[in-house]
Amino acid sequence: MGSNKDEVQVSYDVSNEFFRLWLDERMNYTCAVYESEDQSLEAAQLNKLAILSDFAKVTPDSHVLDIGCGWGACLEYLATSRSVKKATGVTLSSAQADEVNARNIPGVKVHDADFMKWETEEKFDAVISICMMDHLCSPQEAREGKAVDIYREYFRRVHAMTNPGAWFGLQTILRNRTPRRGQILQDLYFVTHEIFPGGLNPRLEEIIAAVNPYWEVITVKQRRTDYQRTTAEWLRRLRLNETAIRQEWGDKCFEDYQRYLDTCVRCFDQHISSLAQYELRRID
Amino acid sequence: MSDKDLLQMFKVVAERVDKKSFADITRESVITDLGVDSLSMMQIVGEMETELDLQIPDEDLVEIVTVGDLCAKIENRMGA
Ligand SMILES: C[S@@+](CC[C@H](N)C(=O)[O-])C[C@H]1O[C@@H](n2cnc3c(N)ncnc32)[C@H](O)[C@@H]1O
Repeated sequence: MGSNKDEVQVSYDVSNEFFRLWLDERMNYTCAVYESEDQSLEAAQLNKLAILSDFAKVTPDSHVLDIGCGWGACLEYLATSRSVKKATGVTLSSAQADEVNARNIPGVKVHDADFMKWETEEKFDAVISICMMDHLCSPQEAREGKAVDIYREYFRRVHAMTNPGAWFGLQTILRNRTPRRGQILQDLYFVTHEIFPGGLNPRLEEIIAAVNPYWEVITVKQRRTDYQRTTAEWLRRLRLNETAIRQEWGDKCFEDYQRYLDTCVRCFDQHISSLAQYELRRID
Repeated sequence: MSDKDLLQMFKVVAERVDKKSFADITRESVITDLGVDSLSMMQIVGEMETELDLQIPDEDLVEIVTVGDLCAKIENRMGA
C-alpha cells in the first residue's frame, strides 16, 4: 500500500545532517505558513504548528498523536510551547524514530511503524498529521480506483484511536492540474520516481469524500503560495550549501535535490500542486 | 469520429511519442503493458487533446488504464 519502508527510506534517510543543512533548524519537512512578507522560515514553521494545534484543540492535558511525525518538530513544539504532557508520534522511517527518541523530549514517545498497521491500546484526544497522506496511495492503486477507499481507511483508523470529542488538525499536499507536455512533465516524473517513490499526492475532492462518515470538515485553508515560498526558501538554502553537499553526499545528490525543489516551486506556481490544512471534528 | 478512427489516432500519436511501433493494439490493451509509462501517456493525452481541440478533466486522468478508457474519455468530451 502506498510507499513501503524501503521507499520511505529513499525519501527521508539520505542523512539527517543533509536535511538539516537546508530545512529549518527543527527540520520541519513540510509547508510553513507565512504571516507577512518578511517573516523567516523558522517563524513561519512555528506559525504552521500553532494553526494545526489550534485546529486539533490541543490543551496541556490532551494526549496528542502525530501521524507521520518526521523529525519530531511538531512533537517538540507541543511539549515545549503548548505544555502538552503526553504526545505520541508514528513514523515509517527508523532513522527518524531513533533521532527523536534520542532527544528524550519529556512526555514524547515515537513509534517506528506503518500507521496503517499500527495497533495501540491508547486513545488520543487530539490528532495532528502533516503531509503524511501523500504516501498512502500508490499511482497503481489510484489507477485501480482505490484512492478514496485507502484514505477512508486512514480516517477510520484515526477515528478508532480517538476519544469522543476529539479534533484533528490535518495538512496534506494536493495534486491539481496535470501537465501534458514540456520540461515540467519530465521533472514531475523525476520527482515521483526518484525522490518520493511509491506515493501520489491526493486530490482535494478525494480527501473530502474520504473523511465521511468519521470526521466533520469544519475548515479548509488553501496554502498553495505558502508552499511555493517554503520550497523556494529550501532551494535557496540548498544552494547556499552547494559545496558542502557536493563534497559530503556527491554531485548527484545535490543535483537531484536541486531539481526536485526547483520543480516544486514551479508546480505550486502553475497550480499543478497545492496544499490544504483541515480542521476536522470527530463524529462521535 | 468512429471508434476505429480514435484507435488509429492513438496508434499514430503513441508511435510519434514513444518512437516505436504499436501494431496490434485494441481498445482492451492495457497502456502500461504496451510499455507506455505515465510520462509518455500524458504526452499522448496532450497531443490527442490538441488535435481534437478538447480537454479531458484532470481528475479523470488517473483512471485511464486501457486504450479504450482513454477513447471513452475523449468520446465523452466530444459528446459522441
Ligand atoms: C513529508 S514527511 C513530514 C514529516 C513531518 N510531519 C513534518 O512536518 O516535517 C512524511 C512523514 O510521514 C511518514 N510516513 C509515511 N508513510 C507512513 C506510514 N504508512 N506510517 C507512518 N508514517 C508514515 C514518513 O516516515 C515521514 O516521517
